[in-house]
Amino acid sequence: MLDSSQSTERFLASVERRAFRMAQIATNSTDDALDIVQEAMLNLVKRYGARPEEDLKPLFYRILVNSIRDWYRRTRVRNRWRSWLQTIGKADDTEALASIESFPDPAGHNPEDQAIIDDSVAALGTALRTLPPRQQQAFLLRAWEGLSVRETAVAMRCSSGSVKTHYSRAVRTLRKLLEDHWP
Amino acid sequence: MSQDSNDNESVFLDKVRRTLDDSVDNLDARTLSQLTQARHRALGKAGSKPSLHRRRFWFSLAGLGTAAAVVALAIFLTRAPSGPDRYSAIEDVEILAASENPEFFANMEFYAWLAEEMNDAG
Repeated sequence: MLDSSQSTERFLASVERRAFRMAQIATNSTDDALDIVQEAMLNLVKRYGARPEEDLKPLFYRILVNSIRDWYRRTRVRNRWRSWLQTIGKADDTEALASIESFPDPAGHNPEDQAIIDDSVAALGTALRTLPPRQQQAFLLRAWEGLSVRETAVAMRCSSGSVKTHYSRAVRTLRKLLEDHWP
Repeated sequence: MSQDSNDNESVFLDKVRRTLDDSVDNLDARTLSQLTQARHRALGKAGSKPSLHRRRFWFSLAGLGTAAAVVALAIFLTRAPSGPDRYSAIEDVEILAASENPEFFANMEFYAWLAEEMNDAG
């Protein structure tokens, strides 16, 4: 019989690739996605490592969704402050401004990341990135990860009704966006 | 919803699943290795308490980062008539200071230093 750390490791190994891809679609950055997944793994093990394996999936995705939400908030705030600092420095410090501009934009396209994704995945990734974050999460958790409406609601900290709404809007938008690629 | 529409949706969703599954099956070796390392780190770290020395280091770093954020906020509040408004600026610092990512503290320190330099130059 497996002890709890072995069953947690087995669980993490079974979800890490999908979790990474979800985070990468959300952030459009391989490095940020890896950070988010590692943080989610660490928090799961610390908080819920002793739980039975069948409980771990919604808990893990709840932590992952939280981490992605925090990433959005931090990125929004950082971008606001960067743009403010750029504004005040514009007149007298072009060198410093160049330094700020040289920071990688966490939400920007990374050619290295894009190169590893084939055309079909790229088209789907682009379509998924146009969705509002909650629709994107509801869609990926329901359609890909196979969570039930209730489990998705637990992961997203919202009602089952909201999950259904986000999901159906996401499906409608994606079908429209991808109709040329996938008739 | 008609049967045709349900069938079309089901075909569409199957294609989405297959595409996403392919995308994780074809992850490059470097990413897979980083994921494995992340898993091992998570399992290893969770079982061990950080040493007193290490905790002190992170507390100091977090304190330094928070202080830098406060300096940046103070400069902003005294200097900028435009830009993020005062209330959202305070909220911003709370959001950023709540983050446990040490990289952010390093960046924030840089931003505070930069703002100070500009303030002195201006």
